[in-house]
Amino acid sequence: MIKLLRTPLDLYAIRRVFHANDSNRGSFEILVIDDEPFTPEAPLRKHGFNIQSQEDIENIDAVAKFPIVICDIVGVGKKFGSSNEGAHLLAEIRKRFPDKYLITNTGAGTTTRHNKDLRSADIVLSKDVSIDDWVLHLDTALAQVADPVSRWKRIRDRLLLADVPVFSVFELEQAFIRAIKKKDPSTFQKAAERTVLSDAAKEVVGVFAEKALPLVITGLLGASAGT
Amino acid sequence: MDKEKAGNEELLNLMHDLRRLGGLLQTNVHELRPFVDRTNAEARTRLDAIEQTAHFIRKRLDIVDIQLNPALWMQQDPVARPLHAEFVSATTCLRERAREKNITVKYENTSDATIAAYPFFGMLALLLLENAIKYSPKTHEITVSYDDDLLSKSTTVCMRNYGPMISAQECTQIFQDKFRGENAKLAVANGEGRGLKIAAFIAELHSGDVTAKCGPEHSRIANVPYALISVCTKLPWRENGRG
Repeated sequence: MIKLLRTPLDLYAIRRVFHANDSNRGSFEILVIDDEPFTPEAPLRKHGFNIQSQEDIENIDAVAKFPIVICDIVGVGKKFGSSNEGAHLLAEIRKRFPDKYLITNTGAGTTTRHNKDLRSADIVLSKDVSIDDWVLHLDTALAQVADPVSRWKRIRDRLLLADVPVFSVFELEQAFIRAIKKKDPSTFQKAAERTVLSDAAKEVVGVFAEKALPLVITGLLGASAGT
Repeated sequence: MDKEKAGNEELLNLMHDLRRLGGLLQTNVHELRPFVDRTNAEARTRLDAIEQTAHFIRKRLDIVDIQLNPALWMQQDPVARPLHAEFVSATTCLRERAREKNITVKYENTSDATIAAYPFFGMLALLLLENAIKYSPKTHEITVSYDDDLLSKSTTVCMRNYGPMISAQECTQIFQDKFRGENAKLAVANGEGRGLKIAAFIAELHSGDVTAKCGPEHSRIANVPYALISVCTKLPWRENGRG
């Protein structure tokens, strides 16, 4: 097969540095899954974070529009029937949405049985962290999800782990860069459709193209004032 | 065995509840602070004390977590933390305890070193300072100093205070589990000999090490010899050096 090569687009040219402040923190929605009231919610809202709480979720797609998910361990994920409850939920979210920033909010860090599933979390925070610490960690999370490069690298790592040929990953990356530059998700969506991938890889790319990418682009537009 | 399992489950529930209450305290203090008049020093001091107590309880629970399940905390990526800020935070946390004994903590210099820290790194400073306060006589000073070493790309932070004398052999043993120096036992009855062991464990997890030195006898209190004790922790900088 002959492929026409041209100078590749530079991924880092679309890097976005996000300086979080009271006025731009609301650009990205944060979902809290906790069967008990999330006590830091009110003060975090005052800091400008756009937080929504749910006692539990019915299916994994319920988190699709939230780039950041904070999840309790005990008493959530009941619909999924795992004894690992919230830890299992996080692992399932990570499988379907590798680009999300996942935070475990736990009151019990002594038990080892959740450790494997909790590798899916970006950070484990105990339930008694101060509001200042919450702000610090959520600002870090916002910086990650606001940056298209960070989001893509998580997808890219997953594809490489799934043995997707490097050239296919490269082609998808080029389409992603073009989509971000043109602020047009369809550029990537079309590339995702024509690339030959395994079922698992196809699902990851398809979900990212359909659910996350439009929000990444919207986030870039919404966050532009604070960048 | 079932009894043990039930006990573990009970401990887990207790820690969960304590952390939830701690979170509630933190949130309420944060919400209340803007309503406390800046000129009302008494009210602000009380609020600070509640906040410090909540911090302290949290760090104590963290110590239990890290002992029982270090893997959970180590599977997270280390983040850059300023070393000096960690020690200052521990000092704030233990301010009330130091005040009870009229002990002052004096920083002889500062350091702009940052280290690659796991989330539990703050406990190291807390444990070392707590130990120094515990064994210092009343109305004494604890000094903290930093020595940044460009060659080895590391910082050694030394905490010095007067405390019950320890022999050269005990200097190496005090980092072992449940070990307490003979004079330490005479000076302070309560103690499990775990604090310094956990501190050394945390330093080790950060590729550092803790050593102790004891100077000559300085004075005697209730017939227990006291001397200047130095506990020094050497920690490598995170990649890309200081600051």
